[in-house]
Amino acid sequence: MLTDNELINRCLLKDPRAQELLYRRFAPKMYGVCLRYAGNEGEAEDILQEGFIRIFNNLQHYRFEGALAGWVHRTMINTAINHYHKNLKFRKESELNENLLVATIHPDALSFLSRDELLQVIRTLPIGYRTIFNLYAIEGYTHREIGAMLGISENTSKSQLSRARNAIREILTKQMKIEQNGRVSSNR
Amino acid sequence: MDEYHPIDRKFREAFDGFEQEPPERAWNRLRNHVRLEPAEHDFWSKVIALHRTHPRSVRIAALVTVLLLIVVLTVIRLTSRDYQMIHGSAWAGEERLCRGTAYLFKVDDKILPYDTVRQYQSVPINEKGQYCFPQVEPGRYLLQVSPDETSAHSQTFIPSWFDQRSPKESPKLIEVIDEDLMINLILRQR
Repeated sequence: MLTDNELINRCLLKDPRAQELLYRRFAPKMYGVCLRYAGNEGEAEDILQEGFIRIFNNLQHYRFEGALAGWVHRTMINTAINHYHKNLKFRKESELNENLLVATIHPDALSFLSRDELLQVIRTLPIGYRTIFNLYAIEGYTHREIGAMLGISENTSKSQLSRARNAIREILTKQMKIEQNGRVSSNR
Repeated sequence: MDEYHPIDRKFREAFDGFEQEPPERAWNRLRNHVRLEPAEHDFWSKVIALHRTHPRSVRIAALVTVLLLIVVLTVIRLTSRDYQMIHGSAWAGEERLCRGTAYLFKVDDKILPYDTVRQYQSVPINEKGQYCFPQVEPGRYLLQVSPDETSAHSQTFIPSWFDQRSPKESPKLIEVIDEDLMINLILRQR
C-alpha cells in the first residue's frame, strides 16, 4: 500500500491510477462530510466533486505539516463553506425545509435517533444554521474561527448556533406530536 | 465546541468517523475535470516532483549542499595548475615606477581581425614598482604598463608595451604555457 508521500508524488506526476487511488482513499469520509453540509445528496456530490478538484489542483502546495487526511478534510470544509457563500443569497435564512421531514424519524428522545435520522434532521435546517452547527458542534471550531471563515461576527455565530439547536428541538417536538396523534387516532 | 450540550454531543458522537461510499458517477464526473495527462517519467519531472514532496528542511539541505559543491569546484578550478602567474617590476629609467597599472591583453587568433586583442586582466603597481597577475590561463598575451596620472613619472614616461623599443616595432608576445613567468618592463620616455 502506498504511503501518503508516495501517493502525492505520483499524483503530481499526473499518474491516473494514483489520482484514483487518492480519491478512493478519502472519498467515503469526505462524502460523509459533504452529506452533513448539503441539503440533499445531489448537493453533496457537487461539493465532493468541487472539493476533490481543489485537492488535485492544490496538491503541489501541500506542505507536509500534519497528516494528508487532515489537509484533505480542511480543503473539503472550505469547499462546503464556499458552497454556503454561493447559496446563502438564494435562500431565506429562517425557512425550515419541512418537506424533508421524514415520517419514519423515531419520536423518542434524542438518544434513540439513528445516524440517518440525525442526518435528516440536519438537512432540514436552513443552510446558515446547518453550516454553523456543523462547524461548531461536529468539527469543533470556535465561534471566533467560524466568524473568520464565514465573514460574520462571533455574536452572530453564537446566535445562529442557538437558533440551530432550537430548530432541532422544534423538529423533534413536531415529529413527536405527529406520532402521538397517530397513536391516539389508531387507538380509537 | 460545547462538550456538555446534549444536542452537540449526540451529533458529534453519531458522525465521528462517519463514512459513506459516494455513487460511482461522482468519480466518473470528477475524472473528466482532473488533468489526467500521461505521466512524464523523464528525469527532470521526477526531480521536480521529488522537490515538491519532500519537507522544506530536506529541500534546504539539498540546496546548501549543491551551493557548497559549486564553491568547492570553483576553488579547485581556480587553484589548479592550469593557471600560471606573471609577475615582475616596471622601470621608469633607473627608478622603479612608483604608481601605475599593468594590463594583460589576450591575443585570440580565432577572432577577426587576427591582430585583435582584448583586455584580459589589470592589476595595480605597488610603491615598489611591482605587479602580479596571479591567475593567468594558458595563451598568448601582450603586457602594457601605464604610469598613474598623479605620478611624477607620468610627466616623463608614456604607457609602454613589453619589449617594444620603438613605435614602429610590434610588442613582444608573451606565451603562457605551464610555468610562472617573471617579466620586467621598461617604460619609454616621451
